[in-house]
Amino acid sequence: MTRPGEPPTVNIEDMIAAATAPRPPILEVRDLEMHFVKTKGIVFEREVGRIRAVNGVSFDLRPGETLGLVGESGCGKSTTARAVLQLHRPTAGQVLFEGRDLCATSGEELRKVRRHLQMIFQDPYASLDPRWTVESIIAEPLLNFGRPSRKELREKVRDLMITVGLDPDFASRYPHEFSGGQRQRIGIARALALEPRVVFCDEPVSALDVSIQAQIINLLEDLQAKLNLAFVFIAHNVAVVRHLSHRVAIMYLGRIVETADRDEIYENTRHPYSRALLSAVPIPDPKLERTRKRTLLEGNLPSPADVRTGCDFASRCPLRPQVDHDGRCERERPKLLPIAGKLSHLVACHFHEKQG
Amino acid sequence: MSRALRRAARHKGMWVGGVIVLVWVVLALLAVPLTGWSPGTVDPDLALDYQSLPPSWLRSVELPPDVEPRRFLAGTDDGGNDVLGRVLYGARYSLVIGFVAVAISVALGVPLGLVSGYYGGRLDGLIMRCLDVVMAFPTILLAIGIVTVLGQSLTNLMIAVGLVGVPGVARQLRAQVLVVRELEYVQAARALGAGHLRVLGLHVLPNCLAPIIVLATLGTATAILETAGLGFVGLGPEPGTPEWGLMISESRNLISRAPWAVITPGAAIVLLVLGFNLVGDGLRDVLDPRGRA
Repeated sequence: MTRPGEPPTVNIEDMIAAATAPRPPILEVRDLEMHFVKTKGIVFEREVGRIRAVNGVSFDLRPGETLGLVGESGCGKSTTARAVLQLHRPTAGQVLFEGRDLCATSGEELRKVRRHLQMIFQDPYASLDPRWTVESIIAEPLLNFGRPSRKELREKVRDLMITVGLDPDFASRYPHEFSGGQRQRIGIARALALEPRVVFCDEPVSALDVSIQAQIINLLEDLQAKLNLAFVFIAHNVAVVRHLSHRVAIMYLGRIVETADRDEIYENTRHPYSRALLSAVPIPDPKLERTRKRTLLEGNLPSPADVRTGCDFASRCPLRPQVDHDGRCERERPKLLPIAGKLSHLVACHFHEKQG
Repeated sequence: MSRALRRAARHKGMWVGGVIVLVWVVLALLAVPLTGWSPGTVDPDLALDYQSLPPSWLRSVELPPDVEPRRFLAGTDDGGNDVLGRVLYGARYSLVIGFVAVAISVALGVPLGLVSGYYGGRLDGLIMRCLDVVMAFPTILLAIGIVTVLGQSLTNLMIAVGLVGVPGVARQLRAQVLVVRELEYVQAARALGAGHLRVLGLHVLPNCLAPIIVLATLGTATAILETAGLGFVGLGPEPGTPEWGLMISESRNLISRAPWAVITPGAAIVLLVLGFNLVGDGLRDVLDPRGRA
């Protein structure tokens, strides 16, 4: 407290703390839940099924940071992205963008906030309207916000095409005249047109050839550095995520089971599911590859329509037979908690400390 | 698109149908100069002389002295009218009513189908159930009902035939919208800040057009048939109008004495409907190659 007239006291320790404190997150996702409810009946509507696609996902994203979201098919990665962007309205939870809850906004207000959050889609063949020219595809977001003149528009599209490494002379062509990698560049240019702060990359390279994948990943890295973008990078390719991410979150059945800084999670993997997932990555050296120890999971992914009380992974967990003697894994759902000594490394497993 | 055009060029059925329809349009336009018949050209004093003359190419009866032997290719009816002239002139009614009715069906069915498929949920349920109710009636019965309620006139005939076609268009479009709205580029458009109207108009609708074009063509054929049906039961244009259904109806008592007066408009209906059906089937093959066996 400072009295009027008296200069505010400056504490050097506060200044240091302020300078070294982590930047405030640009995007905070809190307990996001996306359930798809199947109903029957018109007048007396009743619930007959519920797909729990996303079940309480939380994460923070800072400007310029990349969060890698990894998990097997159907674990809710893409749904998480779509729910954050409000393409599907989440059934519960908060999505705070610069402190504003997107889940509580709608209509015109939502449309205006959402321009800062963009998405690059998985399938570069399906995500571009086949009837539109490249120019109109890239210009579309600009026309959704404001009325630029024809000349401005043309300039802007030209710049964007150069930024993503496309020949601006191809502006009047149609998507089917381009290769997969080029189409993905079109998608990236379109996502960048509104100068977003956060970009969700929904498996942007998994539909591409390996040689093209590297080009697109390098492009994304360059763009991030140049434009200070925050990425949420969704993939099932663990190697790509390791290359690109600052932090990694591993998802299983609609929940984050482990999250940590990139090197920490790869070198000190705590959750048995993460271990299995990361051990599935082949090593390019054939000698090492032969000695690689793989954890193979038994059984199938449980249905996201079922309700479970305990740990979702209990039925397939390779660690559980050795440690779970009183049925705790099936009785009590593990919370996502920091491991001893590392606040930024969170694991949802009762017995992660017993992991070898 | 060019592939579709190439498929179209090879599709024989569509060519045949297209030529039939085109010829009918030309004949309808040139009906008066070609046959010399137009409404009111028959001199009532002479009508009796010309009554029920057989077609010129099977004429065995004594002609009235002032009739040129080559006239009346399809004979005359009991009012002394040139049947061919009336049939060609009547094509105007069928074509105009067919097109206007389909335009009404599309104009109402497309927005209903779009909204129903895109928004889904209760609105979808409400719209589709209402259309189910409409579809539960046999089409001709429903059209008769509508004409009875609105009153008998050419305009109301078009409205009735058009309304009957609305559920078909709406359902077809809804089915297509359900597919298109899940495509990534539609989601992308939403993420890029396009409002619902923009997404619907610029992304969803253009990518749903192909089945609508097919349906509109086939719907024209149906509309022509329904028009003739309504004309036949006397709910079409006023008596004496050269509308095909009405012509058949008015000449049906002559079927043993002057069958040409019935057969000619009947054949005209068959031919024109066949033409539209061939074009419609062809368009379906061309625009949606997956459907081909």
